[in-house]
Amino acid sequence: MLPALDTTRPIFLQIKEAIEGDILGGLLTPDEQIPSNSQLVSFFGVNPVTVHRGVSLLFEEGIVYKKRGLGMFVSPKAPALLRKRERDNFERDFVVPLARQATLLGIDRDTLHTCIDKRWAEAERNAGRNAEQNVEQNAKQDAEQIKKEKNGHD
Amino acid sequence: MTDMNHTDTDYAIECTDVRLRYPHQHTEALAGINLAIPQGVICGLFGRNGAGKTSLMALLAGLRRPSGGSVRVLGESPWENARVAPQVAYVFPKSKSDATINSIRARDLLKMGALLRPHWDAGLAEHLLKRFDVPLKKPGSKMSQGQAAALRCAIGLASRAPLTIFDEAYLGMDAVYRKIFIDELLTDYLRYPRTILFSTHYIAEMERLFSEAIIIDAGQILIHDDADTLREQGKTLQDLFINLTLKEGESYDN
Repeated sequence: MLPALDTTRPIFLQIKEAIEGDILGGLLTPDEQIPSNSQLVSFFGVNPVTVHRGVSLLFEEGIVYKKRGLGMFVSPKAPALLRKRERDNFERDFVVPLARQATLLGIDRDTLHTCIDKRWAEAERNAGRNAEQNVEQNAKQDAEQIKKEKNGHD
Repeated sequence: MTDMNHTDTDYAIECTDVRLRYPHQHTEALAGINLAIPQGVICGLFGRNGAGKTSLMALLAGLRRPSGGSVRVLGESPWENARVAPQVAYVFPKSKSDATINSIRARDLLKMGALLRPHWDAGLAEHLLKRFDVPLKKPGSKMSQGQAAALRCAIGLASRAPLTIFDEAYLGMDAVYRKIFIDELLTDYLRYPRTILFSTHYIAEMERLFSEAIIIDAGQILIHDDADTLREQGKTLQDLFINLTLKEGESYDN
């Protein structure tokens, strides 16, 4: 069915974040065209105004650039831009809630550190072994999905 | 048939202090509606049973005359107006209330659409009926609920009316049919933007369709705003709706 959206948050932001996520994950590379507005409309099943708003915001923030008559393309600086932003937000989004929850549950510092070290090693292993595989697989799946959506309308 | 030029207004719908009282009824079904909907948006209309959704839609479709106030559709009063009528498609919630759909074979309904609707797209109508598996030789009364609903919605879409009103129109469609319907509506809307007013009880499922949302209760509009602006308060439209329209003494658990 339709991709899940969080209906407690503006949908245009979630569409913007989905594209940013694809850029961060390497599914969309610099100077590659992002899906057209109508592809996004049928993929997410949302109002075109909502899609337009999300893509315009990407444009305003310099994450994508416009080629007249062709569509929107990933800015060469976008991955770095997004990584920097995510790094800036990392503490707020992940570390603050982690520390808060650990304190609430009475998990002491040492236990938390041990836990992080264990997961850290896991994450590194996974990233090393599967990262490329994942990227390729996801890209293929998405391309097929969009193709399917497109064919359904012809 | 000539194409009417209604572009003298930016608004598809303008209501000023609109009132509707049914005969022998104490309270007004609509108690002072003020509403302006710009051309080209898909707008959701939410309200509980008896809130006034169908009354409002019937006024906009020219099926009833307001008891007071002014209703303007594409710049004109829709009541008894032969210029506005072909420009407004009203899709009923049930075939039972729609004698035309109920008694005429699907194939002939398509012919009628072609005659009555200036923007009718025969190719789209055929495509939709095929996709929904609607039997062309049967009238609505001989179809499954889902097929009859699909037929009504298909005619509504293929009319490409500048104002299209879906009044709980997909009731009876299963989840797969509803998904097809949303898909087709968005696809055609992209190619031919028009004003679509859509009432529904399935707020959670349908809300992503809408760029604007209206919540109506006891014949009055409680909220009319951009859908994403409403969501910025961190609630789903459905929760907002429940909070606003829950009556005293009623409870609701998720």
